Amino acid sequence: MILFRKYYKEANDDLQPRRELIDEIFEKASKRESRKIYKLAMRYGGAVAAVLVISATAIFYPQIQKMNENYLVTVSEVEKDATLGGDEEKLSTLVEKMMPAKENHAQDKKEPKSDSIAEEKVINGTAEYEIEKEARAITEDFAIISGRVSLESISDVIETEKEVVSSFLYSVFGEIDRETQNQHIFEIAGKFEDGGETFYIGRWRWWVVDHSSLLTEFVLDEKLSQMYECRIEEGEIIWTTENNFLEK
Amino acid sequence: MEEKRHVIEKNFDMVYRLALSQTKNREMAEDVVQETFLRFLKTDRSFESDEHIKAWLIRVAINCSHSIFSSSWHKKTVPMTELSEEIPFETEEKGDAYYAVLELAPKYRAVIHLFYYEDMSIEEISKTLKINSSTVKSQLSRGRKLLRERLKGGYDFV
Repeated sequence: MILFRKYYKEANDDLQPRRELIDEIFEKASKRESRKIYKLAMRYGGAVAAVLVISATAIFYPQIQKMNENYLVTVSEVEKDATLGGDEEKLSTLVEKMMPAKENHAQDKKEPKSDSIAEEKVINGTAEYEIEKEARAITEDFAIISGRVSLESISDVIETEKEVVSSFLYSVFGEIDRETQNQHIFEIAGKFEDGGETFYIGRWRWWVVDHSSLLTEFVLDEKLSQMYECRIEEGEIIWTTENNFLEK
Repeated sequence: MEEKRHVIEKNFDMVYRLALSQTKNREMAEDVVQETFLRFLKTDRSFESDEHIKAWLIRVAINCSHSIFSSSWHKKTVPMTELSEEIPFETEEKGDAYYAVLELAPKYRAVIHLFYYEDMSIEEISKTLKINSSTVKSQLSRGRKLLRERLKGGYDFV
């Protein structure tokens, strides 16, 4: 009798993965991390700037009111108000208004996953809590989902149309990635309709020396103006509009 | 990060071989390996033991394989080379055993691979894949029956 277990084990032991793949995984993890920071900067940069402008306005509002007819503020008046600290209350109230989610913080503190509670750094009345919460959401596999459709709804794309779309992507991103010198590969798999718009679904790879490496799956609108990262899970295409690749 | 690297290196071959048995394609198996370990690097989950990590990786790898497989990419993109055209095994027995498993449906493949390659018990497979142990038993039994038919009865499936 031939032992199936013995030969099946030996056959599997003969199959060796590329060891370089381990380094590629860490490189990709690091790239995803950079992209997350970029997304946060894009999303909250404006909000933080707005908070700063409003805070500054709140602090200096009394001085502005005290301006004399020549639109000058005397140093003594500024020093006086600064030492009194009378605007602290106004400032915190204003910031609280900017952060209506404060009420939700109590709720959020009750409900987040138990293993992340200890890491939460809650600073009431600032944007930091929101940013941290958002950072965690983005890393959790599209916790922020902008759209989803069933794979069943994908229809075929004719070859000439695929070529047009691929050519467009090569014209935007180039044949070669400038940073790594890897060749881009764009595959268009199909298209689907969502909310009255038609999207292509495709896969973006790099050709690295002698093999291809998956960067991401993506959806691209038919007008070729929006391109978002997507993921295929349990028979559905799920995407997030956090980052339009075509706006970079 | 060093600890996670150590875990990845330790489980790298295991995840790759499992992914290969599921996808039957080297390129897709690498995608599955990549995605599995990226999820591992991202997760905040605390693991109780090495076995717990292994079970988690197996489950994620199988889910990722199914996602790729069910995504119909292999139908809609350029056809990729299947393993049968690539691997020249040293002996006929090895090749026969390996390719007979690849011909099974994915659900039988997973159970057969974990039982015969990873030496996992029915109970362990049941816990890892989060399926009923009687389902594991019946899938294993059905898988063996199909393998016997394909391998023309010359094998012992202990």
